[in-house]
Amino acid sequence: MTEFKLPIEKPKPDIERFVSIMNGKIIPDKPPMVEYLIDDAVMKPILQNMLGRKWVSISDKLGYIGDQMNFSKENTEKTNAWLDNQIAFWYHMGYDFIRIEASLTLPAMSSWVSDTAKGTGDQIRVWQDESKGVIRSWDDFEKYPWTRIKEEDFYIHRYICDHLPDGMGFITCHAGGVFEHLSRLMSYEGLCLNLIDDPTLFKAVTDKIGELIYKYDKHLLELDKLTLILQGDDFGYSTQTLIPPEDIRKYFLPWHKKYAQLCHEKGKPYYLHSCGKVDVLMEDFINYVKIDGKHSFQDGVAPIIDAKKNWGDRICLLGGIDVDKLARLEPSELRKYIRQIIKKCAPGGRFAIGAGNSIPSYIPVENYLTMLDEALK
Amino acid sequence: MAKYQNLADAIIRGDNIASKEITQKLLDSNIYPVEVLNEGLMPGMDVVGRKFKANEMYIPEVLIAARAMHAAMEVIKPLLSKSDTNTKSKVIIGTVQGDLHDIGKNLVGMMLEGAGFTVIDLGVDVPPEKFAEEIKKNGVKLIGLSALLTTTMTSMKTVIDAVKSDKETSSVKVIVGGAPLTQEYADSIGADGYAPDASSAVDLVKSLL
Repeated sequence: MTEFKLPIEKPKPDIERFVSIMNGKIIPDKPPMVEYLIDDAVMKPILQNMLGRKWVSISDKLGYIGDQMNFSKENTEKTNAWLDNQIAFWYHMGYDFIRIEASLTLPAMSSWVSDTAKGTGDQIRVWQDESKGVIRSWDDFEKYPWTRIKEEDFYIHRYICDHLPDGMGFITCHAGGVFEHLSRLMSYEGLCLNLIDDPTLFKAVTDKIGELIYKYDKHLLELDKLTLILQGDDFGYSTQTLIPPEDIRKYFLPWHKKYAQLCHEKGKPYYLHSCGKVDVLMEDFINYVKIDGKHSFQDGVAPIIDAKKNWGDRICLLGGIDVDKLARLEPSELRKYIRQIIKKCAPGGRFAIGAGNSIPSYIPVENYLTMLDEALK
Repeated sequence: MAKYQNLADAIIRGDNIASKEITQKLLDSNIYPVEVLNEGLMPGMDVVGRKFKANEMYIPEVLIAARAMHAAMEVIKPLLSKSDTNTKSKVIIGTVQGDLHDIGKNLVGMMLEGAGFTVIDLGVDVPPEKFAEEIKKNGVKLIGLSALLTTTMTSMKTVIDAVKSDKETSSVKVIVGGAPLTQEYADSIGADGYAPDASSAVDLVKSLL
């Protein structure tokens, strides 16, 4: 394996500088790094082999998207150890912040299949059911176990705030946005049909989720070390938006506008992660929602170089290294590609480098490290 | 023809009640079922496909158009003769092993049916040997493979290698599609074609068969 300048033994994170770069007050000599989510399959070998830490897995215990969190004494100890690892990882890999997200308990249907990605061993991959939602009627809506926000929902957030190294910031959001949870609860096919067959039910479920996230964000914004909210809500796929743009404007963007307003009232930025071909909505994101930054750019759908030209002077742009290239290019080719992105996107600032979407299990560890190594040059 | 326009319009706006009623009325007036299919339903789905490709229609609208098409087909199907249904080839579609993504493949299936093909949908997480077995069993000349992830799209090559290396199936055309796919990747694994969306997949199938 190549020699990397990682992990950094004595990092000097500076979250205030990161935010200043993102809002254009500082033009850096090299862009800072950003990441949205990093899979255990990539984190584990780095934590074990490069940072010499004991791996702790909590994926079967801690709620991620929509599952019930378990805070029994035994599990709290495990969760703390897991969080210590998370902080160490983001700190020593050169980030100015840690990003972790959790969600409220919103049970839905899932399917499982063996994960074919390298490095995941005999793990399974969980797939959201695309045609069988748990809410298909008003009766289902009434009977659904809608959760109430509780203090323990913010245990991991408070732990991170209490244990952040000097200079590190904390970026989070509700795991899963309004549209994403609607597609979990109604299924994608179900929401598509209900959008036309029963728009009142569609709106009722949407607003119920939207309101829960709004209340959740209010709690997040009370955290003293919170830097900003980077909310995920995937509205697109490779060739268009998942539902007509006018319906996204009508049902979902008003909620994002409220979340952005909450952040701005507290003097915090609001960034949006939204995958797929959503360029038709960019002006709405910027002018109506008033996002401060946008994450998720993939070469085949929304190249970051084009985004820089179109919107780079109005909002900050995050990520942009194509996940397919991260997964498949040889390290030497990957370095060339990353240098090209930096060359085109770094001038003028308001750009942080990282994966176009996230670091899933199928990104080779060497390629992930190559991206960071090149960014640190 | 004007008498079929109402049926095509019902398909385009996704009105499954109207599509069924109009189909029944046309059949009651002694029009051949295959003519209703060819002159009303297929042109309707063709418009849906073209509008979808041009981003003038979106998946929810395509799904209800397909539902309207199915409603009409329920009336027509029992009346179609064998020779009517064999006018176009059978096509096998499926999502490759390790992948449970369904929607993209289903849209391709709907569009192909709308264009008059007989679609055999093998579902999701389909092992390579299942594709080979079904090709032989059904005598199809084309299969379509779908994948959502970079990690699962590598299974496409396994299927293509299996199909192309078997004398009995080596002439079968294999087309691929899915979010992480590109023409370049399709070429690199020996696929006969790649389509970026469901509507283009229909054009591709037509050009290959």
